[in-house]
Amino acid sequence: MAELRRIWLTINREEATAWAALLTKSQLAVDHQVDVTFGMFEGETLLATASLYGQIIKCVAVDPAAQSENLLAPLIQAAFDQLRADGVEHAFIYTKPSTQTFFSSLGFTPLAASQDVVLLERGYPDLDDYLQFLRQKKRPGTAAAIVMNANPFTRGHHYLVTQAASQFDTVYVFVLSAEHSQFSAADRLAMVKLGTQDLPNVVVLPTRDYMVSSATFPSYFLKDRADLAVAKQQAQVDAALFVQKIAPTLAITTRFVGEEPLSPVTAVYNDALAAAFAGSLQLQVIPRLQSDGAPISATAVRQALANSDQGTLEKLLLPQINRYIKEHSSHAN
Amino acid sequence: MQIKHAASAGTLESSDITITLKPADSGVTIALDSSVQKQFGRQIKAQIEAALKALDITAVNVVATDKGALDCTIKARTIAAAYRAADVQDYNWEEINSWIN
Repeated sequence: MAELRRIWLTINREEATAWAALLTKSQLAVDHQVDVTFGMFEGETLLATASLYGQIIKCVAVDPAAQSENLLAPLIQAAFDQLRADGVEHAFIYTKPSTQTFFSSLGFTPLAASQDVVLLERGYPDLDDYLQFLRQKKRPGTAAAIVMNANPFTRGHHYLVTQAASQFDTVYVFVLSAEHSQFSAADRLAMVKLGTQDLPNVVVLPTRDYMVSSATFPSYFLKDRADLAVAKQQAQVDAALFVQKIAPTLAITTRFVGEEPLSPVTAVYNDALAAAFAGSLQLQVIPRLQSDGAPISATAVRQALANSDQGTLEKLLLPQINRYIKEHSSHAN
Repeated sequence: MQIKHAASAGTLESSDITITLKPADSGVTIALDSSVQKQFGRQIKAQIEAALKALDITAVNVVATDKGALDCTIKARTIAAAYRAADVQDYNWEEINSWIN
């Protein structure tokens, strides 16, 4: 009878080696970006494993010799129990289309699929709850969407939104909800609302977990370290989810993105969007607004903030955003 | 009993069932995935419906993942999920006992 145990990858070298070997045997990348790892053991032999990274279940493998022994269920249960201890009742999983049925039978629902990857979720609040929330915010007429991190909201963002707002009855601006940025999700949402006050046809919304999140596009938050091949796969899933679920809910026909001369990951993402949209949605790429001959970027703003370079900040930020940042950073000091 | 927020009870172990209850505007819907769907799907749904009715829950979306649970388990998981979803902590055992068998 196999027994469930936690694997402490950083402490127990022998089990960590067995874990890596099992993943390799199952043709999975040995991905050390995990919070908690569980294993099913027969004596000292590792037969199956699953890990958690935030709300994402990953690195799931069952030894080919031990398949059809229902080793997966206790692993997924353990992952859920772990999440539940933190008050989370919701998890995502990435898998190959060929293994999707195993997870469906454990209560997972598919959200979106690319050719090589399927993203599934289980628990609540789920995608249906998010779509329900979006329906309440829906406005009539033509609609476009922009997804942004706004870390922080720059004159460049404002220019992009203005371009979209001049062409459509409504522009839905989705602000990333993931907490991986210098400014908190709440601050970024507030700044976008503040910065688009002059545009009455703009609706500012959170992305929750369903656009460019740690679940749909984790590479976004690794930018300079991300593996571009992996990023491409994730971008395809993220784009598929937008095309299949988000856009129809709000009758969005066009998505606007800023041209991306600087970050290769964002460039990969824009390419994946264009490919996934073909035939169903328009993708409008707007050239970056320039300041002193360089494209305005949030990275430049953060640099100027670090150097307390007021002159540059005034050039890159709307006055009300500059004020917002000053007021809110003074609390921290 | 009023479903105030989503809640669930049960595990994915063999012979258990995971019941998740979510608020709904009206009516009871049950999405069931069972390893014994063909033989017992209807009976499992009937057990869940009966337990919800006894608890006077008329508006709820149920998601159930069954791994061959017996009727007593189905009832127990449904009751536990309902009490959690309604934020009721004190179980009315007498009342439950009057209909559970």
